[in-house]
Amino acid sequence: MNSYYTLNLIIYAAVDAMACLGLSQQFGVAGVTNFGFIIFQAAGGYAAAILAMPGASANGGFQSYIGGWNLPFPLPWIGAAVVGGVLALPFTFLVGRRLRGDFAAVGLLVTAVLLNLLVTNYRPLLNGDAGLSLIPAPFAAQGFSGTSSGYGWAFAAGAVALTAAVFWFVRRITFSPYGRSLRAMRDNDTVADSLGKNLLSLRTAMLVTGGAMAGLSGGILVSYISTWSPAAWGYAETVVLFAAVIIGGAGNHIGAVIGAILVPVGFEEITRFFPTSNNLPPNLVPSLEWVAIGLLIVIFLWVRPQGILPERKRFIALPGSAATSTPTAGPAATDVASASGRGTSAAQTVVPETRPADANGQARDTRYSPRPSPPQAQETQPGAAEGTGDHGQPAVVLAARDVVREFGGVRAVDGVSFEVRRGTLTGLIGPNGAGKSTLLAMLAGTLPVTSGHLIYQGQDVTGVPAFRRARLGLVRTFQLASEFKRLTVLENLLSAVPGNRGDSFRGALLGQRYWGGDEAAAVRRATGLLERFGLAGMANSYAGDLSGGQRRLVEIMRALMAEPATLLLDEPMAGVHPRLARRIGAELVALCGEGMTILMVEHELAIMDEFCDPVVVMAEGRVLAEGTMQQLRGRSEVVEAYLVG
Amino acid sequence: MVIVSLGMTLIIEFGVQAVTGGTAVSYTMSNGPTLAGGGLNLDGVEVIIIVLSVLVMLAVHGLLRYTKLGKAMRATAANQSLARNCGIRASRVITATWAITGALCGLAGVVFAIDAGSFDATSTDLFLILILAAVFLGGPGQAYGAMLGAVVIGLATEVSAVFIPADYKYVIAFVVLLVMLGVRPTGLLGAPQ
Amino acid sequence: MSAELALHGVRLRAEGITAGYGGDPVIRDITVSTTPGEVVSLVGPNGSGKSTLLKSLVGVVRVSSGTVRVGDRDVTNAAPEEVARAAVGYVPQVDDVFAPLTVRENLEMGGYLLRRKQIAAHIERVLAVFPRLGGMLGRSAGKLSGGERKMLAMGRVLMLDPGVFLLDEPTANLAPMVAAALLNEHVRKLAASGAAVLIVEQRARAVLAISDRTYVLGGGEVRMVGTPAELSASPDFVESFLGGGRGQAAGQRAEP
Repeated sequence: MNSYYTLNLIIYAAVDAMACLGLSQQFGVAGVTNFGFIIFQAAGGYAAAILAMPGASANGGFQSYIGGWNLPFPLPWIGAAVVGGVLALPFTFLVGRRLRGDFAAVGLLVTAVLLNLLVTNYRPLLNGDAGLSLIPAPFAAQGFSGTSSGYGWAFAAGAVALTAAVFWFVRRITFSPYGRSLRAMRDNDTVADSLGKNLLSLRTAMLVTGGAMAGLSGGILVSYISTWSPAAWGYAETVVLFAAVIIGGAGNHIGAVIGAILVPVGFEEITRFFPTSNNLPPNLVPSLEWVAIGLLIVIFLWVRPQGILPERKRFIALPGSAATSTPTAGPAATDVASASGRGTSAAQTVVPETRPADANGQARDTRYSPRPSPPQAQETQPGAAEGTGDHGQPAVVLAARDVVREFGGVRAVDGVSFEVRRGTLTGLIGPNGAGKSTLLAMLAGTLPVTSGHLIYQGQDVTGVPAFRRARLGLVRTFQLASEFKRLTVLENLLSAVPGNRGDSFRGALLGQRYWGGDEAAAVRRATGLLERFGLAGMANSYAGDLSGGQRRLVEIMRALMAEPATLLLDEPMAGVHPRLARRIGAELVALCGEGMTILMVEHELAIMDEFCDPVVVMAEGRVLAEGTMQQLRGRSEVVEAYLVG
Repeated sequence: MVIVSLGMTLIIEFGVQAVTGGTAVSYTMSNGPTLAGGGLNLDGVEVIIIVLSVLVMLAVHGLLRYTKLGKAMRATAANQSLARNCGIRASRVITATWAITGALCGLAGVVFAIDAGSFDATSTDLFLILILAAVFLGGPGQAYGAMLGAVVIGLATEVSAVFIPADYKYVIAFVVLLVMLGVRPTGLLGAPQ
Repeated sequence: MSAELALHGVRLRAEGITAGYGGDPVIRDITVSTTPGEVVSLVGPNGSGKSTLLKSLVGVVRVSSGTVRVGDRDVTNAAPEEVARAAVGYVPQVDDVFAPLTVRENLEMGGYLLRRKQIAAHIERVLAVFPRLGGMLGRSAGKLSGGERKMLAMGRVLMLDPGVFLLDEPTANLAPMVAAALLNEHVRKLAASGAAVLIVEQRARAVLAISDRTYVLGGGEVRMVGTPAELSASPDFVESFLGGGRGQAAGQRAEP
């Protein structure tokens, strides 16, 4: 094994590892499935080539291509990364909120096929089928020869160093609050949206950074092998990289590197050991390579989809002795259903500084402090001027005016107008099909309004997307399972915290020193909530492993972590033991006393009786009546509605 | 799931190539008598292809709407667990679905080969774009959408070859696909989101 | 209405069931049984394993030890489609209908195991029990209201001619009116027609009113067993599972 061979191995490993890290970040961490990934590497390769090569005519004239500016190193590599990143921008329309992930992936796949076709057929662009050759290596102009051994090792060292830098970069992003938002988006994007995460922005960032990493890897590769043609980047190459990431372990960065070594590099190397013979059909060995890769993908997804190194559980130590406190909520909280997670290997401790235990262990600050309301809009709604409110804020926090929701010929909500007053725990009841959940979804922004207006804190928010409403303090919970399954309970809670400095791309890059304080404060708040609801013992379990009732509690706590000014609860007590439900009800009343406004859809009339005032009754898409439960029970049309429904 | 499909694609496509080598082959066949009418010249084979595709469409429609298997397929697609609780052997239904799909694709491959003249293991790569464009135009999950999309895309690509170099005729399919994904991913026949 | 409905009930016996979702078992060593004509209910707080038990009976959750017998047949860990063939009908708590299919097609799927000639007759029978479904045979199941969906779900199971009816919190998302009607009329009539009924419920008081026998689950085990009268008299039961509270009883008794 000569040094040239080793060199080759190292450089290819570095390049593939870099590409795989980019893909793992996009796919494993953020859930963005990019089946066109290879075109970003290709673009980077071509960019580096045309930046480094001399003009087409000067270069012997037998290749035709655009560019050819003969730029010195490191500009071609920088250009490669930039082009890779910029190429992602036109595709951001595919990854916005509304399109399903696998559809977007298909769009990117098709783009890869088509770009390959275009480049192959349109020769003036990048020399078509034959591709570019004689691409100068770095410092070639200075006379360094690619064949000298010292040069080779220097190149390899450079490549490895850059890969290490990329590794550092993706880890920094992933292990920050921003990374947590990415993983939340991956696990359940609708819920992440409703908690204030800007999905378009997050996915765009992932496409661009992944594209840049792929582009850089392409630039390095091209400078080494000095040629680049469409045959090197067919759509199937993306599949190879996906195989590497899946086998190594999606979402695990070391796994991505391992995958890169095993699959692209490993396959190349293994074929050296096969005998060649003229008796075999041509293309047999390369074809079998592909077959083997395909088989590996299928087998791994069947047998071990989490890969060799699964994503590690983020274990966060709770401040003080919280982990051993006895839960107070009765059987619901101590259930067996906290089965140890599947597929977890070593846990990893993250932060925080542990405060000395409080003298009275109860003194965690769990008191709700309402978020300062946004600057009041100029327009004030008629009817909002009455009522005193606190601090001169209007008494009506949330209002619907003639709201209609029509879909598929059915009017789920048929002209609803009502108001929710500040500081109330307002109930919303009605028989099935009344439109309660639909109305709540429109108030939160998860469903669009067919006609009518929604006013929140004086502003018309009818067209405002859900994540922006969340940032204004209007937060909702969901009826069905909506926890982030592959995040721990504590991470679920932390993901909802608004305004964490680490929850932005820039913040993530600045590192723990920058966001550590915010994070520790959030962990303390979360711990307090967990203790209040008796789930502190499950803080570091995957949320997906909890029982139904426990997941409901996580949902409510998570919504509270978002510091809502107004909370929209969609059947929070469904499947919850009556005693626990009453405790939750009491907590909600306490929160209203501290300034929060809550609108709650529920079936349990006992809950309404005890905690809600006023209660709004809906039936068949319209508001029927409003008042206390006692008053409503006395009204015949309310009783009728329930009888018929 | 899509990833598994891509893996299978690799296995099958390159498995075929491994066995057959990279050379192109073609059918030896005659094209049959030519029919002329209304300005169109169709040879016998082309007429057969057209009739065949209409028959296939009718057969799929009949299968899904009127047969027990077809309804079981729709039920299994809608809610597999519930389907099994009804006694439907979901795995068999799914296998049957794949088999029918495979058969239809195989038939399409033969038709493609007849039309194209010669082919090798990788000729159908570009077909992927056309198929996806057709499906997304009509709406994924809508059988009738796929039929509509196929007709539209087929016509559009061939007509565009009059205006742009033949090598690029697939570009129109590509554009249609991206536009549909961006504007109305549920397709023309799917319910708007 | 129920004069035409005659079901051939079978005995369901589950003994020593331990089951879970991989990892630790959720339920341990549970034994329940139900006989034709009986309404047996399973109540208990969250996480006590009620739904899991039901799912383990129909093959949705794996049983690691214990046996499930329907009549003479051992159906432990049988695939759901085989359990259906043993005349066990299961109404899940959620995803209980085929949303894109019409009401009629849903019923046809319920009758998947029937011979073609029998389907029409069985549909007639279901419509006799749930007349409201008759007016919406062509409507897509996804467009029904909660109560209508539950009726369709139960009707679908009824198509099968089940000997055993397993119901997982059928009143979960229903308004109290509808819930009471479902329990008092339809569930009770099923048992009266000869089926063995096993019903899991959160609304303990409501379901107690129609049960012949009740198992109280807690922490994955059977804590108490008895007739409603026995259990209501027990202080433990009243304490833990009905939650007390002045509104509770009124809310669930006043309406029907």
